[in-house]
Amino acid sequence: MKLIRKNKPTLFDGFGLGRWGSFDEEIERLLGTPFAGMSRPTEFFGDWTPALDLTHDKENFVAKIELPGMERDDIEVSLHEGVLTISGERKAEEKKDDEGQLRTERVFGSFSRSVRLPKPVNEEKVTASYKDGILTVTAPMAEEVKPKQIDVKVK
Amino acid sequence: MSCACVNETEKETRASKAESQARVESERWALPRADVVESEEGFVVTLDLPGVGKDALDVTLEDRTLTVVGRRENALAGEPLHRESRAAGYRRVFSLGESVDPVGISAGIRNGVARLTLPKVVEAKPRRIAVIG
Repeated sequence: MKLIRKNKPTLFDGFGLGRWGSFDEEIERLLGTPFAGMSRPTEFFGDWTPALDLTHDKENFVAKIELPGMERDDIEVSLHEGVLTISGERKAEEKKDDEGQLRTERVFGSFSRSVRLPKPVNEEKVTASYKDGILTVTAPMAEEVKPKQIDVKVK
Repeated sequence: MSCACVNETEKETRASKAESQARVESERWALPRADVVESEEGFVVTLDLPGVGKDALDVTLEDRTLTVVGRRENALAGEPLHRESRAAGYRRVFSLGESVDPVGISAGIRNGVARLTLPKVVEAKPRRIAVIG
């Protein structure tokens, strides 16, 4: 029995569609169907859709995205006309010759998540850091600035 | 999965899932994705545990049951605008088959990926028999 996953567009415009995530994954595990690294049918902009949280405090918007097992150089963060885009590629580990894959559940490959920030931000002061598999992007709120594309170095 | 090496009992999965659904106040767990690779030397179990650092990872062995728990900060810092991550830590239980040597198990975590190395007992490793004559 194959469960139909709800489609989830990756460009978020503030209406919080939420994420179906683990429920059908857990059902699939209970039924014993090996996930075997097959690409999931509903990924629009990549092989994989990491979970994204967006919060704010008085001064900043903060986006956190779950990116386990990545290297900083493989993550790209950019901001263009108020849309924050985080993308990259998670490379699969090299398999040695004498190894047999008994179970494959983790997802690899390219991903891209975009989120429209609700208010204009000070683009020069956007920072990003990566720790324990979570990328955190902090964007300070600002007055309207001229839209331009900037690339953010991940620390 | 029917290999007699690193096995996850269905009962345990159902029990822990039912357990975690029934409770409201106490801790909730998400099931992390895991890959298992076998070689002549042993097994390597790799789990995705984003947000879990070295101090938040617990790996315990009781008899032949290996439990991996990764705690995370469940509450969002700041005002939520959009949430996709689950407000739960990670927990997964494995039952180890006869070929695993429990004494040599080691675990480490880096960038939210935990790696457990489960060596095989000597009897389970392939042995070259010397040919004489």
